[in-house]
This record gives sequence, structure tokens and C-alpha cells, in this order.
Amino acid sequence: MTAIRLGVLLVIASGFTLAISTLPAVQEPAFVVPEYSADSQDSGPVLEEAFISGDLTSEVHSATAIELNNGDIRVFWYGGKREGSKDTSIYSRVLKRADNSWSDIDETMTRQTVARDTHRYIRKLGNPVALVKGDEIWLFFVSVSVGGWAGSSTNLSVSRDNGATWGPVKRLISSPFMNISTLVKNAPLLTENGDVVLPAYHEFLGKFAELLQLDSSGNVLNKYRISHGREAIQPTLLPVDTTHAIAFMRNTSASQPGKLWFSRSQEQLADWTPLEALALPNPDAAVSAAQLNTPEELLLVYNDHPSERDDISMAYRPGNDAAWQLLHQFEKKTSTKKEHNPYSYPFLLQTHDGNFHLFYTWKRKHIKHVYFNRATLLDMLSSARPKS
Amino acid sequence: MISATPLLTGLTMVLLCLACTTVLLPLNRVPLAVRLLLIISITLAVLLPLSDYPGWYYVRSIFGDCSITALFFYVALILQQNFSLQLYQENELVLLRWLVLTASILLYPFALGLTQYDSYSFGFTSPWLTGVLLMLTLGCWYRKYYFLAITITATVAAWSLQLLESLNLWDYLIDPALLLIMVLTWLRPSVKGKKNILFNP
Repeated sequence: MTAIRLGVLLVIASGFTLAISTLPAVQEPAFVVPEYSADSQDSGPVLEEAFISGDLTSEVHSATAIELNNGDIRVFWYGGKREGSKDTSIYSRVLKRADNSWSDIDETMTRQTVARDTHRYIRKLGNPVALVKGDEIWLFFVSVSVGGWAGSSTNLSVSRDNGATWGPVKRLISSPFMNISTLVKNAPLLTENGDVVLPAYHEFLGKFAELLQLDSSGNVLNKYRISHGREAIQPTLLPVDTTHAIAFMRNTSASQPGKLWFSRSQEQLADWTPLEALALPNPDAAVSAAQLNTPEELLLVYNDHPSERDDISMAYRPGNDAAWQLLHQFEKKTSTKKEHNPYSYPFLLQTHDGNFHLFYTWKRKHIKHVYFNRATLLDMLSSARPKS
Repeated sequence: MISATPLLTGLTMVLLCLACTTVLLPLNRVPLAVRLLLIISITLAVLLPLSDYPGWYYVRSIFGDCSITALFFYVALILQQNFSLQLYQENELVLLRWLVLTASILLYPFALGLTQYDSYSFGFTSPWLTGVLLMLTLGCWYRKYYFLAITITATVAAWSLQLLESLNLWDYLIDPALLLIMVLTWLRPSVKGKKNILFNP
């Protein structure tokens, strides 16, 4: 055996010993199931509406919100001259609990900041979603370097001062094909060991929903596929217990359009039931959901039409296998004037006092905020009607 | 960590651009001085700012990070084509092509949503993939394909040390740009390995 042959063998032994000794062991996520109180039922019904995105940009879209540890609500959205224009930024403002007033609007993230931190050219920014993790806010958002939304990647920035300043932007590496086409729309979940489960979707060749498991540094530890093919995107993920979850998804199917998709995780998070078409319509549009007194008692905000985003409606399901009931319509197009998707991208946030903040895109010109409390919800429930 | 160091990342993008140039242009037919001038020009164009950002920001935006396999191959390819310095044998190049092609077929269609099974997720934790690579590396060593053996070993070691942004072993093994360049080398018969001058068996 020559010295070179022995030397190469030694290199191989060293390299693989290192690899085997540091093989990662990723735990299956155990969800933190949130608990909500309904302590505001003693007050009367309250339902308030306002446009909150100001006039800094001519178009706005895709709002998301979090409840901060002090009870304030921070909302994020993206805006620019138009969807996909080069001047898009992520904007944010805070609804202060103390006096129920809105802060000034911050330009939270620009494409220049993202390019500087990720060392990549960035053409436009898109959907944000956020999470409160201890004393930190994790802000995930989409960016595109080349092409349309199918070329998106997802980024993460962390704030340790309730959103006043933001740390370096980190690129999530979640796809082997030039890392393109991982997008986000709906809220992430926390796990008991501090990992984060981020609902994501892919829309390059396939259109499918998946989950990213991230460690406490924001590294992608694992992926779990909910669907495949070109059927479903934008999963809204809700934990049923520590090891099981359900997901509602936007229907992008060419062969079975018009109905909202649903799936339920099985024994492992990598195993999901085949997509099930619900009785609720879906015009290839985003939905948002919240859990009430039990994990299967749900509110769902959606467009109540199989092909048009002409309304923003809320449905209620009292439990697993129960029928959906139409609770309320926040918007309903009344004019016959042709408008392209006037109401879309709802985001429903339930605060820890059991009340609700709904945000959605209003004719691409505004982000509309609707606040309603539990007493209002009870009023809505009393006049609910079953969905046919 | 390569990805956390802008200069290192920029240099990997330089290697990618030089490898593309090497397989697309018949550089071995032009004088050495012209070759060197071209290499220096490409290096500067990629590293220096173009408008707001360095050129490599744009390259990285399109192709993503280079895999470790790609970096080893690009260095060997550039040295072989431009300076007649042979780091791999012709059989190793043929085997590497087949390995990259096979891995791409096993990875990309499934990662892009063809089925419910996602082979990419296999690369986060699976000891099986590491085991397969160990067997492959020992096979290469047995056949005296030392360039390939060291390249694969470096790939798994770099994954253990998390030298790239990704924690997925697949991202250390292959990337789409490597696949593209491998296909181009197939189409360019001049890109062949000869007798290995470093590890002459």
C-alpha cells in the first residue's frame, strides 16, 4: 500500500468519522397548543373597522399580525407602487392596548436591507408572517430575485425590542433547486422545545403545501410535505394537540377547483390525509382560521364564492365533523362594476383575552382592520345559518 | 462558514463563472497570456460592484450557493483546461457525471412536488445517505479514484461543519449549476481527464 493510498484512506476515515459523530437528530415537533380565555364576555358587543395602512404606497397587500407580550398588536404588510414593483417594502405599525391608538407606520424591511444582509440581488419583497417567541419577534417574509412569485425565497429577521429595530436578515434554505419557490402566508407555530413550525408553500412547477421545522437560530431542520402536485398552497396550520395538526389550504387545482382544501396530520407530521374538499367554497384564495374553546371549534375567514374574491366572510364549525355555519360577512361587493379580487388575504388574530382582530386587503388600496369581541361573536353565533 | 463570509462566497461565484467560461469557450486553444487576462477580468467583474451590488450577488441570486462537490470540480476543471494540471482521471469524470445525473434525477423531480415523497427531506437527518456515500467513497478509493474519494469526503465533512447556509446534505452534494456544467462537459469532448498527475496510481 503506497503512502498516497494510505493517506487518502486516512482522510476518508477522518471525514466520515466527523460526519457520523455529528449526525443530527431532529425531534418530531411537539406543538404548544395555545389557550384562550373569554374574559371579555361581560362587556357589550363591539365591532370596529378602520383602514390602517395609510397612504405611503399606492398598493398594499397581505397583512399579518401578532399580539406582543404587552398586549399591543403589531401588524405587518407589504406595499409599493403595485404588487411586485421594485419599491415594495414591508411596513408595520402597532395598535397600542393602553389607549387603543395606532403608532406611526414604520418601513420595517426594504429590498436594499435584504440584499445587503443576504448578499443577493433582491428585486421585490412579498408576504410577511410573524411570531412572538419569548422576548423576540420573528418576522418571515418572501423575497424575489429573479422572475415572479414562483422564484421566491423566504427570509427571517428577529427583533428583540418589540419591532423597534431588526437583526440581520437570514435566508432560509429550503429547496435544492436554486432555493427557489418557498413562500409563506400564514402564522407559524411554536413547539415545546423551542423549534418553530412554519407553514409554507411551493409554486414553481408544483403547487403544494409543506411545513418547515426551524431551530432556535432559524435554521431549517426538516421539512414535512402536506400535499403534492399542483393542488393546494398557503396552508393555515392549527394544532389539535401536541402531536397532531389540521390544515386548510387554498385550492389551486385545475381539475377540482372551487372548494377549500383540508388535511389532517396522522401519526407523524410527514403523514397527512389526502386533500379533502370541504363544503366551503374557495376561489383560489387565501384563508385564515382561529380556534375557540376547543382545538376543533373553529372560526374561518374566507371568500364565500367558488371563483370570485367579492366578499370577506366568516364561518364557524362547532367541532370535528360538524357542519360549517356562515356567521358574518364583513364585505360584500354590491356594485356591478368589474373589479379584480377586491377583498382578499384575510388574517385572523385571536388575542389572549379571547377577542379578535381581522386584517385583509381592501381593493389593494388599503389594509382593513376589523376588531370584534367575544360578545359580538356570540351575537353572530345566535344568528348563524348552516352552509349548504 | 463559507456562506457567512462574503469574500469566500464571492470567490465561489468566481469559480462558477470561470467553470462556465471554461466549458463554453475553447480556452485551451488561446495563448496562456490571453487565458490569464480573461480569468483575471472575469474574477474582477464578478467581485467588483456592478451598480449597487457586486456582480456575484446577481450570480448567487440566480444559481444559489455552489455545492462542495461543485467547488472541487470547478477548481479541477479550471486547472485541467487552462493550465494542463490534471487532478482527476477520465474515468473519474465519467463516474462523476453519472453520479450527479443520478442524484439529480433522485432529488429534483421529487423536491419539486412530483409525489408526496420528498427526497430532499432525506438529506436533513438520514444516516442512510451518509452510509451510501461512505460505501461510494470506499469504492472510489478501492478503484484509486482519489479525486472523487476526497471530494465526497470533503462534502460530508463540510456538511458536519455546516460550512454552507443549508443544513441539508443534498445541498453540499449537488446543485443545478453543477448539473448544467456536467451536461456541458459531456457535450465538449475536449473536457476530458487524462492521467492524474497528483495521485498517479
